[in-house]
Amino acid sequence: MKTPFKKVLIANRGEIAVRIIRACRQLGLGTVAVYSEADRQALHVRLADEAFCVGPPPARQSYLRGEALVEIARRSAAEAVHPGYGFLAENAAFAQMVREAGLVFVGPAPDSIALMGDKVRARRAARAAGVPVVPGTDGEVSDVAEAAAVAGAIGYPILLKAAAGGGGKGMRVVRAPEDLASAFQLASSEAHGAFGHGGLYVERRLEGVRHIEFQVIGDRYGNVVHLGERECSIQRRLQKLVEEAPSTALDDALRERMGQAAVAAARAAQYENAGTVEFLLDADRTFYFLEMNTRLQVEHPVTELVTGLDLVAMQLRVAAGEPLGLRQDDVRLRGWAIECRISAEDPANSFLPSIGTVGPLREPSGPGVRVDSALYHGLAVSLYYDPLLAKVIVWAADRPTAIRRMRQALGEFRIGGVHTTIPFHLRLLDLPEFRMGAVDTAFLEERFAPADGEPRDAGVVALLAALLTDERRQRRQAALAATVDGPASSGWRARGWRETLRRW
Amino acid sequence: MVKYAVHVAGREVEVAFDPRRPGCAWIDGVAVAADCQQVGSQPVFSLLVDGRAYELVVQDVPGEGLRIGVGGALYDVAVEDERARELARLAGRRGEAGGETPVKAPMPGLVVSVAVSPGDEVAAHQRLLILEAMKMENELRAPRAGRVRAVHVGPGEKVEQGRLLVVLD
Repeated sequence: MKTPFKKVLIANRGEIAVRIIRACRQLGLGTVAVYSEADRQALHVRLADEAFCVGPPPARQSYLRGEALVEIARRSAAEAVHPGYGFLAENAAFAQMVREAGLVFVGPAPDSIALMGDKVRARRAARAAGVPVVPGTDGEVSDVAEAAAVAGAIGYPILLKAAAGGGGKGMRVVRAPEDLASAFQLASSEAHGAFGHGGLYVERRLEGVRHIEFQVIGDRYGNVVHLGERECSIQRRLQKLVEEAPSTALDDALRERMGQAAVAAARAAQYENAGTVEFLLDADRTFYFLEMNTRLQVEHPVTELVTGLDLVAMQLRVAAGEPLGLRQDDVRLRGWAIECRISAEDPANSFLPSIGTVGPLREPSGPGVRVDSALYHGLAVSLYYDPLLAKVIVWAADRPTAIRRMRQALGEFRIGGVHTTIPFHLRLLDLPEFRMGAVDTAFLEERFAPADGEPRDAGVVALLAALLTDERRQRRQAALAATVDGPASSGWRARGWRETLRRW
Repeated sequence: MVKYAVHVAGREVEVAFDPRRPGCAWIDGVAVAADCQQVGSQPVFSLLVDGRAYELVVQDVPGEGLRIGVGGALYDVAVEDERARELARLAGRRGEAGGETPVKAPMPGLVVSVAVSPGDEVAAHQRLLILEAMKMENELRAPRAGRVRAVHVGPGEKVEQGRLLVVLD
């Protein structure tokens, strides 16, 4: 790769930092990792060529410190910065700062980030480009009274959304006029806390819709293509849990129409590099622009598996000034890919974050199975960062085979020490609605009952617990006997519980 | 014959085996052929129960018992032996399954609201309180049905991990 840069600083952590290091390696680029004090032993630190501490564990004091990151890039002679997703990935000021330091930002121009990051301006830009948007306000509403007037005009239920927002923060569904005032206040204060700006806008809340997003990528010569859709309707509290490509809801004709709309939205933002245009699709196959994410997505691997492309490598190439080298006609979707996000959360307990130390580990493998992971035996899962531990992605020629492959892969996955979302995924994969692909964004929260009744393996868990307890008791007694009578009398029990248990 | 009462996933399983007859065990009175081997020196165990293969990962939780992972799920397990149970019964305490259940903070955070008061009857999975951690509001639910004996925290209170929040009878 002939590039204006030879070394890339990865301003991120976790599985995505590992993913980016791999892409850099394959392109012959040097890698600089950054880490917080909590991540000194993390996989991305050990896999990179160089690694530098960026601050204490809280993200605000480490991964969100733009100036410190740029300073590390300068110190390590890195010439480009890849932001990954989350943290500073959609922060126009950071992208600007990177550019002003004479470094290449692996992502879109600051103006594109700023435009799409302002949800109100983004809606306007999309509409101006002929892309349909969800009915709602044209700008921010100034107070509850104005929100109430708009809501009355477009009809309940409505959605209050943070103008500066994303990721479900500062967002509230309001189903009846009497709930508006309190929801407005909550959403506004949440938006202020999360984004430093409490401005809200109002949209009609569409029900029974799917979340369909299109991957787009552009170069600096004005070439923009889409790489097909991702189905992301399996969500909880607006957080995606399972993604697949393609979607059961699209045929070639609809894919082409939505793809063209996605490309038009990207062009409206003079978009360069990888991005995602999100749509809502209703049962009548009408689609609405939702927003554009100006970064690599968590779920990018499903697109990679059905297109055969390496999105991170493409990001680095177009950031280096290479032309895309790909026309829309060259993009072919092949087979079916599904991703399950494995997070340190307890699905049996309202998806409560699970903290602890990861014990013995075995990641799945086999034909058509890919694991993007930051896991290792000894990883301390804390509350400082997103609970995503790993992504299991499978590919197969068709959807039923992909589902079976995912079952097999998740069945192999062993993660000791923390609760994970694996049991949730295994249950979901067996549901008739999921198998038929008949899901919408409300499916999980409205029609998916949490697991109850008897866990299947309680008996065998109890058996092992009893055996271990018994061995330990014998070992304690043996040790006691040894101290009283001297070591000679301890007999076979002194061999310890491990050997005894192995014999048992 | 040794017997253990194992508390797992909100119920009690009785496990019995005869140390002189390795390979036989009784789970809730049902005889099974069982082979248990530790894999190397890892806390990983391969169990064959009537020929069915299980792989389990074990972690000690000091003062709490064992945490055992199998099939993607993780169980917190407490084991009582027969003698301890008998003593507890004679002392007039009810068995653990019907006794009190402490609900502790699974992580440090801020108590946003408390949905129950002492004396309330709650169903399994009913919301007890909301704990905010890292800007996310997390719902803590009742691990089982019962009566609220005590509530040890109030809204606005900061709690450390492991802090006793609510006790169910």
